[in-house]
Amino acid sequence: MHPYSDLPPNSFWRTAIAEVNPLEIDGLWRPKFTLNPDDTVITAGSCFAQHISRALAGSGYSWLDAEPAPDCASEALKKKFNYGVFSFRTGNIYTTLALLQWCRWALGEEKVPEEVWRDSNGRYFDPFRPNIEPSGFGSIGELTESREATLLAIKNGIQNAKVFVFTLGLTETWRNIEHGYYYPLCPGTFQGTFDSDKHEFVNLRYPDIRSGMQQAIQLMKKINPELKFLLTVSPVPLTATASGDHVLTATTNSKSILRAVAGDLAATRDDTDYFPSYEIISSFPFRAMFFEPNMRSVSKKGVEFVMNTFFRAIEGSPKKAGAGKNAATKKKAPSVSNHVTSTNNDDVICEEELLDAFS
Amino acid sequence: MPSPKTSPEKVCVIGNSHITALRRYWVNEARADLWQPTFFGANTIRLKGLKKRDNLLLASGIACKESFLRTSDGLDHIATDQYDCFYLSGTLSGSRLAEMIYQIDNRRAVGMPLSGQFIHELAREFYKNSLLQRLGAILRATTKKPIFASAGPLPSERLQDSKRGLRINSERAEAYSALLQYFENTISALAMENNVQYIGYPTRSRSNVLYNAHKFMIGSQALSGKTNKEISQHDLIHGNADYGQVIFDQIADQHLT
Repeated sequence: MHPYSDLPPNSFWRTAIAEVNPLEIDGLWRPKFTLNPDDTVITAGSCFAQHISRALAGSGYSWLDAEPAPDCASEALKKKFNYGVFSFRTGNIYTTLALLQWCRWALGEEKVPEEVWRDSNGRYFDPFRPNIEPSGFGSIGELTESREATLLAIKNGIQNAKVFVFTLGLTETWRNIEHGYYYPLCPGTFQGTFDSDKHEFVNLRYPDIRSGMQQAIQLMKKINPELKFLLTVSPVPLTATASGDHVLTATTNSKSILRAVAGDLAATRDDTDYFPSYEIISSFPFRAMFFEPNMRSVSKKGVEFVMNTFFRAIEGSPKKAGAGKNAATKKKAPSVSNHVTSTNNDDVICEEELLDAFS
Repeated sequence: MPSPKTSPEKVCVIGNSHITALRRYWVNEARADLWQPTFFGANTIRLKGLKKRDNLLLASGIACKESFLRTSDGLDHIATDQYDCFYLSGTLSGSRLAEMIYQIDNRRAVGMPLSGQFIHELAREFYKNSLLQRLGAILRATTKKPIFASAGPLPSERLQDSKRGLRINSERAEAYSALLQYFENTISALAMENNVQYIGYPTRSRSNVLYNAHKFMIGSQALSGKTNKEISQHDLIHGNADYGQVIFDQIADQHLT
């Protein structure tokens, strides 16, 4: 007898993968902690995280929109102004250091930098979420007020949530040389002006990514010690790389680092878990079947498979009885375990995709 | 709209259930020296389905036809060349407008103000989805005659007593007023795209910025013809004959030369 003698079938490649229909690969995730429909969940992160937000809200889980649009606005108008995409109107948060930055601002540990961008029409854009208002803001005062609202929403969201789902997206980022803060997009690509004396490319390495996430977690737990974290890694390849490497190797490097960080934190922290959406979409046993022809966007079927795997694992674990609610709009919990989410990739807001315009 | 010295104008009044305020006023106290109105009333969905054929506007189905027959005393279609001008009554929801203004202002109170651009697009969306936009466009496609329009009444102050009532903060009156003005200015500008002149809310009937005094609402008449004597749900958002007089006087004040 030896340690491998009593392992379950999932522990062996042949029985778990090679001899199984890919669509029947199961047991990829055993949740570390329970998630009941009435547990408040907040989400943030890269483009892929939007699918998670939507699936949670649409399946009767208590996804918290801490910065909702007024009810009188149509869904189209809300989406145009980036309401209801994540739990707060930060836009995509691609790196752990950007997340840490937002947390420091929201919790008063650092002041938000004064930098703003102005376009030729006299409209103002927030460098830290340049896409948040489609035509920019009418004044610096309005921009600042809006950002203060988002910071308030972040603080409220963290204070009230049970679980924070964060999707790690990138290692590549752009930084202000003088002050050290990070931009979600390279200045000049969407708004702003690139200046090589002010802006530098950084390809964050494992220690920084891990440290950023660790510090962000610790900061959040200062105001909500019970908060738990569910990390995922975006399976979406890079639109472009500024590393000088081929985009394929740059993507592999980036995702490998992010996956290692997520896995390490899940392995070493009781309050942190990892959900393998990355493996489902991009690992070779699934034959890339969940990618669109551009080999980058995740198909609707892929999102459905990921979220069904998620909900099946959650609902398979013991939970308290009770109706679920969306923390913003009050919906009942679903009674079936197969959640089909009909998300359309055209609906996902992905600033990083804008880089494709320069290819 | 007519001068007191000229012969009364033939006015085609088209509207949803809010048409009854003006119609009831007219039944009680016709101003025949000024107007010869014909009322075409039907609910919003049916009015949105009106079809154009040459210079005619045709009812969108049997129910719409019956409603026209009842309110116009015998006509089931609108021959636009028979009228000197057109008045679109109650073609924007006053209740919804009040609620929007309240929600927008409340966002500032909770530290999450909306951007000016968002509010602008909210106002545009409100107009674009309205009966006013639809009727104005289809009417303008059939006639070059003047077209005037006003919104449905702001809700009754009694609505504050219900669960749905807006909890008006009297200290925010100036802010509500500014927002209402902004919405009305935006609606007015958009209505002019179809050369429709928007007539803003009267102040005479209001108990505060966002509510009408209930005396202008109690006993409102439903489109079916039933008159409600007791306080009813209908009264909370529909004007009565007194409100009809306020509206008429406002039109007369603003447009008589």
